[in-house]
Amino acid sequence: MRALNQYILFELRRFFRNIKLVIIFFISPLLATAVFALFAYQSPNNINIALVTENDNSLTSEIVSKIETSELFHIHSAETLDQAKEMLKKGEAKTIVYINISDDKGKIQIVEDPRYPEVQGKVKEEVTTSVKEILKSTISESAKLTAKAQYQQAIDEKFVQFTDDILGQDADTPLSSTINSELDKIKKETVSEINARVDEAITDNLATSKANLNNILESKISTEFEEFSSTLISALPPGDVADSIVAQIAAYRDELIDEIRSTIEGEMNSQMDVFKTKISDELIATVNTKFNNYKYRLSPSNPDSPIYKAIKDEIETFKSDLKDEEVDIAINTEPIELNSEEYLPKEIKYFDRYSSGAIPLVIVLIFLLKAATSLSQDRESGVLERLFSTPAKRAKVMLSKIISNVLIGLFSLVAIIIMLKFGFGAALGNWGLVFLISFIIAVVSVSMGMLISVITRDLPSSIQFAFYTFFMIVLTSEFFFAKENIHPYFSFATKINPLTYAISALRKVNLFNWGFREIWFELTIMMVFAITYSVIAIVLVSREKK
Amino acid sequence: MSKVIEVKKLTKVFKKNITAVDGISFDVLEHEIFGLLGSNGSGKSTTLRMLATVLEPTSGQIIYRDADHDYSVIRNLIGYIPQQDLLYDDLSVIDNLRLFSYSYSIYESDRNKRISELLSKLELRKYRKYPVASLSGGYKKRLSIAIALIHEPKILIADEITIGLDPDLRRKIWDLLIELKQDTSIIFTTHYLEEAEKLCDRVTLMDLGKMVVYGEPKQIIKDNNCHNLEEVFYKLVTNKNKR
Repeated sequence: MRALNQYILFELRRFFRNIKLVIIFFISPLLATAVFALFAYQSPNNINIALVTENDNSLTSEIVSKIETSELFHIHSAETLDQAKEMLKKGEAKTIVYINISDDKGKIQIVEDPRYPEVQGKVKEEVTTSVKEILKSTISESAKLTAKAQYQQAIDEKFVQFTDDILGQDADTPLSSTINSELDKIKKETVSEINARVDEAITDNLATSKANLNNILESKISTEFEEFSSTLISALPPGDVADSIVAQIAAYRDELIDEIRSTIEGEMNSQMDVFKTKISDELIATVNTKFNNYKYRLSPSNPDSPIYKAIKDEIETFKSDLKDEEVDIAINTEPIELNSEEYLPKEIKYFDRYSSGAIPLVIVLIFLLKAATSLSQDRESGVLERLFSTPAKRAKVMLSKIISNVLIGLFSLVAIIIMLKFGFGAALGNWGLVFLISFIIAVVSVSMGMLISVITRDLPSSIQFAFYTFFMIVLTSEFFFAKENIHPYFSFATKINPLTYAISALRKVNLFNWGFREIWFELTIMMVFAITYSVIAIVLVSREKK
Repeated sequence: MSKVIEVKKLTKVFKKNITAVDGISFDVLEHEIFGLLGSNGSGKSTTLRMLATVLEPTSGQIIYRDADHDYSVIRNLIGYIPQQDLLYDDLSVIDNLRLFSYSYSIYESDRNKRISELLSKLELRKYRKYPVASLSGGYKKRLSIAIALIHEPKILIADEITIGLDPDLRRKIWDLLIELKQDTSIIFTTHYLEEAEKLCDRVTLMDLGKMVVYGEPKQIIKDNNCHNLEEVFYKLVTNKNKR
């Protein structure tokens, strides 16, 4: 144990005695991190785009205006698509936006420069969003006008139908039927009333006339018979004969009066019935004529009728009011609202998307290269052979190199994290976990570097191998490419890459503020990697034969 | 005198079937300076590296007295001075000594005393805090020797120990080797045949991985009717190869 401590101590002393190496080792990671932070500082903006417009119309102008006001773009106008392509070739523009719209129809074509995939997505997204907004507004306006015209036309059509239904033209309408029916009722009541009144009036007058006539005739007959009787009596001697004649004349008189009465009664009744019928027929005919006239005049289908006019006027006024009414037509140009949002519990900056990857990336870079060269450097200088000619345990020598390299890197590790936090305001989660993850990936990197150093044996090979290993693990770490980008047969590479787990754990902690419970798996896998690499390196060195 | 190392049919074949050492057998006795002589590429250094356990033999045997094939025991017996100085250039003289001292079984109480003695003996005290990278070749060699002696080895294996040194330092190293011989068996390689003649109790002359001649220098010279080892070398190696 004492030997191990001393080896570690001497390894540290060796490192710190080389001021040049110390400066490079401590400054480079900070510089690399700073470069990372500055170069991945913001989402792309001021992107040079070549703008080509084929037609001059309001929709084109609106789209161009929208694109021009976007902070994302720096516009270079081009006359033709070919001219724009030339600009793309020369690098003056990174994307072409070609607008060819006439009569509110046409196309917008985005020609992308494959050299700048990050920029491509942004331009496409921004142009699509801008055009979508404009089209949404245009479509909405056009749809509103169409809808309003259709609405007004529908009102017209509906009111024609409504007017027909109310006023009628060829067929009876409920209103005209109701009016006619009511008029018929009135007419019927009127006729009945007339008949009753005529009957009453005639009956009353007939009785009076009959009485008057009877009285007149009776009076006349009585007077005549009185004079005749007086004359006769005067001519006759008084007595029975005269009395009998007078009595007979009186009987005749009464008989006559009765006869006349009876005749008058019969005749007058007969004549009155004819008269009543005639009067009644005349009156009913007049009433019918009048009521037919009323029906016509009151008919809702009669354009001259006041009802027709009144209803028609009311309908027209109502229709006019409806048509003039500012109807707020809600045009749903986006029947299905499509929203996307990032599932993040806190506000993050653009760089924060990369900072969680930048930390382990820089750590792997410095620790892997440092460790990969440490053993082969000693091997090349011969000191390792000399050390291995002593009873020194190779495992101890290896372990001392692993531990010392981790200890040397700790300062850089802490410095990187502090600089990211306070220099660039990176969103970091629990500091303890950030340091723990960084420490473990540092141990993994050192053990991997030592393994490379053991395998490659000489310094140039170690540097080459370490560099390519770094390159490979960065590419397969899902930092630049998602697992879905990778060839299906090789997507497993992400699973056997410790950097994948370090980035995953740091993203969970930094972006989601998650805790140990959510990252223990990643930590365990990383530790398994560290132990495996270290054990293999130590075993290989211990079994090394010359 | 008993054998501290016994080498039997030792062979080393590198990749591409390059035979560096081809079935050599010899032994090294207690309190003896044994010289491995030969031209460049004769297999001297490969043999030494196998003796120092930094290289595995392809075949054959190296038997160390009291070690029984246990590398940690063998390595505690051996002090190895490689041809190149193989030092931690970025550490100071004293740090190099300390670092290597922790690789050996040295009592903690003896460590500093031993380091101090070596610093004095090899005239390194003045430079003890100097980074090795700043030392001259001579002082690097002194430090390399000091490291090899830090645990007071029973066997000292030195590869071209005096090469590139000034005459004064060479002489001092000779004196040191002679002094060390009292308690240590020394095996060393050299191109300087007069050095071997002066220092070695026995030598073997190697050529193309094989032992050409093996024995006491005086006897070898006599057996070959020569005046010195250099003549023997010309006779047995250079002229033979010319033919």
